[in-house]
Amino acid sequence: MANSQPMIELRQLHRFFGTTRAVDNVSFQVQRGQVFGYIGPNGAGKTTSMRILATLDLPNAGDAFVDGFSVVEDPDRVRKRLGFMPDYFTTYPNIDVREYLDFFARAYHLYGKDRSRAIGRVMSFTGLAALADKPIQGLSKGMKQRLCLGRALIHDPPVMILDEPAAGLDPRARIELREMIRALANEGKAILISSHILTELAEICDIVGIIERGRLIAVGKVDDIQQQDRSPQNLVEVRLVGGVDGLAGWLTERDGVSGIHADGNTVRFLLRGDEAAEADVLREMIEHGFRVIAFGARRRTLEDVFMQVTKGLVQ
Amino acid sequence: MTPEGFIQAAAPPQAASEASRGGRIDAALEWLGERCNPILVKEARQALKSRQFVLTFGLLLIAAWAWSLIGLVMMGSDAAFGQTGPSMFMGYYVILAASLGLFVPFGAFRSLAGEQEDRTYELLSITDLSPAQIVSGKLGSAVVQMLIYLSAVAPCLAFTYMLRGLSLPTILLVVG
Repeated sequence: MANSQPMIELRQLHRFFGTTRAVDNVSFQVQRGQVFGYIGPNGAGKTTSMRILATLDLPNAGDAFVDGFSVVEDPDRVRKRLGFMPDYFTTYPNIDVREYLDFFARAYHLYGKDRSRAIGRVMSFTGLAALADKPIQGLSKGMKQRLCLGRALIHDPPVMILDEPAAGLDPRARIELREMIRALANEGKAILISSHILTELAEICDIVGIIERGRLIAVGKVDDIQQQDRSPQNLVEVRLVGGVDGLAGWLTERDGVSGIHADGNTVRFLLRGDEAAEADVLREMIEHGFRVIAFGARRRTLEDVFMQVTKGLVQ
Repeated sequence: MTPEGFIQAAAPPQAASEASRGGRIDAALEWLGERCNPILVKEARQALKSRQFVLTFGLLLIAAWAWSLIGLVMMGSDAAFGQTGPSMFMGYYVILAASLGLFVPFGAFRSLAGEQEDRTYELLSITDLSPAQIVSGKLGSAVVQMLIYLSAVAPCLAFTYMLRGLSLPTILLVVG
């Protein structure tokens, strides 16, 4: 197959539950080595789309493809090429880490040395080697998430579907998980990941898709989405030596300034305009005798974009 | 070469042959283990570590041992001269039937129901395992447990044969 073929493709995907349009005409592609961040409010349709890709559900219309194989027509081939990490972790009682991985390796028909190698590779990648003989029920949330990722990786699939993998993890575990996901993408795997922690997604994703009420309302590279300037207001923060007396009044008289908020020796306000407008405000402040020691304009984050394009609507 | 030396020199080929046979058995067992149904392997591992199995197995042994003592005391000198096998056998059969007819099927039921309740079935369904493999693995695991219970009571059943009054085919037929 040609390398240009997308590893994941949703083509006009529809999934209805009664009158609820859980997934409504969603289309996007993920190439080899790309991380696609799938974001949206609860109930937006992320998990439904992912379950369809994982062959756990069927679409009402449209189709989804993994490495060129349809989830409707060829689910067996899709499953061989897919590692799925659901948004919940379930395990079996009385089983340890190695036995759990051994079971799933056997379930993917890995025998003998191939199985031993696969288990060793996954344990080494996820850092679970030291916990190989520990019962799973005694593992921390972070370690269980690692194990869940390891299970999804055991047959070395080229496509990974990760549904809320960072949910409930502490900051360290989140950073470690992020590094693992980036390493998998560097190996050439196509990764579809959903998360509510948008700052993290912005750091690891090449492409982001925002979904609300089943419809994909924005999709593109993270930088491109952040630079979509529908509301050209930047949050500016200024710190002065001494007090901020007079600055609030001076700002109020300026065009394009709103939302002024003074706190100690810091003033925050919204400024309409580009970087040149910010430079002009800074220059005039200094000319008017304000003793500025810090001046910064925060760029629109993925969170800002998300809040702007979604309305928090649920079905 | 002395006769002793000759014997010593001849020994290694025999040892090598035994080692080779042992190696072949190991390899065959390993091959069998590799080809075993994955569900059967997992379920057997889980079951042998479970509190329910340890408890049931322990109770089975205690009950069989207790019945052996009680039966022998009740039989007195009949144990040496009469045909007391059938009455002893009935006691062991009841003990075994309680384990095989109650605990093992309940364990198999819980194992199957647990897959749906704990949502582990979804992850199983996207592996290369077929539905038939999943069900046969669960049932196979129950059979393995039954064989373990049976093997624990086997010496007691052999004991009833020695007490006379029962033929070996009868014992095998009733247990089977």
